[in-house]
Amino acid sequence: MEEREPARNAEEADLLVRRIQDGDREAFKELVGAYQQRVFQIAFAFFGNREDAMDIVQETFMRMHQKIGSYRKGYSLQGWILQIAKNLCVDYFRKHYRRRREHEAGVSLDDIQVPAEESVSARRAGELKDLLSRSIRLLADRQRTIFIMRHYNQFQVEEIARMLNISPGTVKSLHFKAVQNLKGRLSPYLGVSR
Amino acid sequence: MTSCGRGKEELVAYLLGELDHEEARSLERHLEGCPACRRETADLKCVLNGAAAVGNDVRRAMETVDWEALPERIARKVFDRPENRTAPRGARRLFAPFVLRPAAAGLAAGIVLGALAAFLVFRPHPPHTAPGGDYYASSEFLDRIELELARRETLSYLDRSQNLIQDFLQPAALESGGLWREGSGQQRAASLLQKKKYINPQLERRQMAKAKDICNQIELLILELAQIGPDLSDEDRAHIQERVDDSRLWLKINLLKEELQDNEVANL
Repeated sequence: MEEREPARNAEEADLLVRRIQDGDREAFKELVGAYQQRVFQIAFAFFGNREDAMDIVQETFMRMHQKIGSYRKGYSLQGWILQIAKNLCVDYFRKHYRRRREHEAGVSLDDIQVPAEESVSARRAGELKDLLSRSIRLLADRQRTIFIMRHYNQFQVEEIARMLNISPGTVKSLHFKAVQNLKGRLSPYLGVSR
Repeated sequence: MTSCGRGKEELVAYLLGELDHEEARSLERHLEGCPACRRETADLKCVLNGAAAVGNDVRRAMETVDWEALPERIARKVFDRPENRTAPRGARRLFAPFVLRPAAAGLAAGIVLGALAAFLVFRPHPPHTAPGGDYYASSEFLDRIELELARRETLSYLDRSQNLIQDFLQPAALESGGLWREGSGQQRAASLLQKKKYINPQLERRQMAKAKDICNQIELLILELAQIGPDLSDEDRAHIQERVDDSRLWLKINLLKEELQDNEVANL
């Protein structure tokens, strides 16, 4: 499904929000349809798995509906929703951090007794991808959020700055730190120089 | 900064296509003559390409989601919950004073709840007894207590076992006056073996098969530790370390502890 076009301007967004505040189910569905994929992209990049990402998508819109009364007129609707999504991701990530770290090793309590039967090359390719997503997940919260928004949501620096309510310079600087940290973590594996 | 003094931020911006045409041309000219910047650019490109590979996973995962159906599914969860069913306009008007004045509504609710609480506290209440006169607790309640006890006992056993194994694997355990030399390690191992006997029936009764299996593996290891005398050697330690590594015991213990801490015993 192609993502529906998000509300084009602040007036449209305000109207949509007002309809939702009035209990308009169709307006709510319209809004979910417009932003669901962007929320999914952020959540998937945080957790690296579809199930958690889907939970975050659902939770984000349920939370948004609960808080719809606190939406400030004229504020970026997309920014507001993605802020909710990001906060949920960070909370969930912190709460389940230890468990995730174990899962990052590619195991769970149920499958640790089953030896892997992959070929060496497949395992290496899998490890490389795991390492990449793990490295992204190990970034500091703000670096991770900005890196994800920049690369997976394809947002421009100014858009991210507006959504996170920080300056474009800060976005650039945090993004740069994220890239540097990733490079540091991946260097030994990829054979690049530090 | 690269060794030539050029900012690395500029290289990242270049790779992301964020430099304007003039800036990009200027940097390309610089790259031609600067091996350090070329190497740095190649490194950064590697990282960004790698991140893009993870991005492909996101796209693949997105293809598996039914995006058409999702808004309705979420709407159902939001609107079809009893507390979210919208009251008809007439009813809304009836409750308008409370809707419009949350403080007044909160106060009224507080008074009602306070009165109810006072009634519950001060009313004369006979002890909850079974028809025969004995004190009575539901089997469900007793079940929950028993489950909670089994959970706590198992967690304590896992913690103590981990501590003992960790202490044993420390080089200090071998030194004179160390854990094993003075015998306290063996005593702790013996005490853990006793404890395991105590939790065995609980694990059995609660059908905690996975927990039982892991606790049994720990027990075998502890048994070995208990049999190691004060003159333990580097080989003994290496052997135990190998056993722990081979069985991935540490990981299993950690995962089990997390599951128990999350109260997921029922599914074990």
